[in-house]
Amino acid sequence: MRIMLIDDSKTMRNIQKSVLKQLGYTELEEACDGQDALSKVSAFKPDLCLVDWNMPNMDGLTFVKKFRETDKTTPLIMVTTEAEKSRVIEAIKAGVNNYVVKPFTPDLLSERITETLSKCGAA
Amino acid sequence: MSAYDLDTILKLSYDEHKVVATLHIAPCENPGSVTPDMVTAYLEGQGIRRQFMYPKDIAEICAEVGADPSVPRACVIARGSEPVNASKPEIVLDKELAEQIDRAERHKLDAQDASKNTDDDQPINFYEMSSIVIVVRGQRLAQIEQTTEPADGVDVFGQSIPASESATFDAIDPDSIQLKDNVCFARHSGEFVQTASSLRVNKNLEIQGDVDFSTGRIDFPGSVCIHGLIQDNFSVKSGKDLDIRSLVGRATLESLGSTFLARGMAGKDKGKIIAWGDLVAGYLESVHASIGGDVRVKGEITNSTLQIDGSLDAPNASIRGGEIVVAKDAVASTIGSEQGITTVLVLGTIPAIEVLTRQAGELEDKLESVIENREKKLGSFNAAIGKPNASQIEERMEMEFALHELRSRRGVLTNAHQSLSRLRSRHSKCSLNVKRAIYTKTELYLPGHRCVFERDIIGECTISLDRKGIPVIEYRGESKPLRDFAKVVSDERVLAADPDSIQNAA
Repeated sequence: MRIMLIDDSKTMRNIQKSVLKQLGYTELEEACDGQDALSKVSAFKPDLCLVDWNMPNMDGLTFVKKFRETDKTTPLIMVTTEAEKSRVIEAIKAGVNNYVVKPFTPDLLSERITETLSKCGAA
Repeated sequence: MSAYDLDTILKLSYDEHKVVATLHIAPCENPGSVTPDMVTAYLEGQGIRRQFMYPKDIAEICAEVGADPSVPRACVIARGSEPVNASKPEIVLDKELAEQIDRAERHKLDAQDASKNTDDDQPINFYEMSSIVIVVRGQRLAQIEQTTEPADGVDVFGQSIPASESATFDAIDPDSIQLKDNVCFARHSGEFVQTASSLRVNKNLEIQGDVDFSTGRIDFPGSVCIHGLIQDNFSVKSGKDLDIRSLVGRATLESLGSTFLARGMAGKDKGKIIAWGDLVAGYLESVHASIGGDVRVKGEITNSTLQIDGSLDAPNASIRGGEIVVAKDAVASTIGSEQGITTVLVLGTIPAIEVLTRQAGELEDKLESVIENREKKLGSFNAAIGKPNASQIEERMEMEFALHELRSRRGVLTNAHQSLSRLRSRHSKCSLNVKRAIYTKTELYLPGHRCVFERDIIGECTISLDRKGIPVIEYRGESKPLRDFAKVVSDERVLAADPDSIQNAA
């Protein structure tokens, strides 16, 4: 399974990578903002994306909207400090499948990933 | 002349297989009827096929009869073909095997020359060479080749004469060599032996003589039995058991199974034994040994360094000098000597496990210290910030994640440490039974203790740990603390036993 990590913080990407490796996912790609991610998705063809909201060049929400123009099915999980209900709804309307608020524990992230994949797999 | 008349003067004879037909013509009065056509008709009437007849010879004999009918005549007038029987099969050794045999033969010749040469500077290292040809299971050994293929014959009547097939190749030992599509493969690893009349692979190696220059070193996959001596500096390695009937000197012995030394070993401080199974020996002198199983010695153990992962059973043996490490129980006749030779006995330990246990303990302590520092740092960080911004959230997440990883590793390390402790605890109920005497200057290490005997203990005694892990001695019908008989101090050469495990073992 190919997973793309989209976050301007290398620290966050490292944490997510460790969690994913513990879950057995080793085919990972990183992007430092929405623009970088868009340039890589066509070649990498991820099966899941973890997307931060606040990023330079192109933020996470914009990335999600542009991504969904051509891909309606690949699961997207927003991983962000934005916790307000209105923001969550906005993200879901844009097309994310699940939402994780920072700070999160590795167990929580692992749980959300499993939950998202099983829902999208079942769909 | 009528047909009846022809029948009276013409006769046929044949060889054994009726491949050759000879026509006999008796003297006759009317030779005019003995014509080639008549003779040919006669022969066909007898069943002889025209294709096998020799018309020229028939015409010739008829002409001779016409010229002088008074003389009896005979001539071969038809011939079929003899069968070609298959020849005895030939063994063609596989190229690699042939080279192995060549090397072994060359070694033997070189060894013979070397034994005549008194010069110590020999360019060939005989200690590393071998004259035994060893094959491995599944190795291709030889091809059975037929030099002549069988071909059926045919007699003058046109009947087929079957050729005989090749004789069964009885020379191959079916228990050790598999024959498949005329190719021989070794069924098991062992010594390849080819004689004039047989091929076989011996699973076990038996050497009637000595291991010396003529044999070279022995490295055999099966069991090995040596009746003669093993010359100094030679090595014998067996994939199973090793049985040596004569005295062993300064040699290296290794077996993946058990080792039996009918007489013993006088190693001159260079002799080495590595046995993954048990060791049974007459005596051991100046030997270094590492034994995976139990050791039984009939005579003495003198100035030897032994590491025994099982028990030592030597009720008639005197242990003098050297250092003996025994994982389990030990029984001996005497330990030390009246002359006061230092003899060290270490009980209840397998050194490899001791080392790992210590390393695990040290790592646990270090890790605990690191975790404590990180927790303090995280605590300070949380105390310093009020409502964290996005960057501080991430920084805190990084610290928490790192702590999570460290705690997880601590868990793994603690489990490993506990497993090792459980392994060690199996040996905590170790005991030393001495039948006759423990002499002064004997040092005994038990889990957590070092015991130095400063006076002789004459008579049978048994030393072990009590339920609290304290060394005790049963002597003359009484059980007393060992400190009443020897100087007992704490010592971590053998890590102290876990009190729970002593309880469980008791």
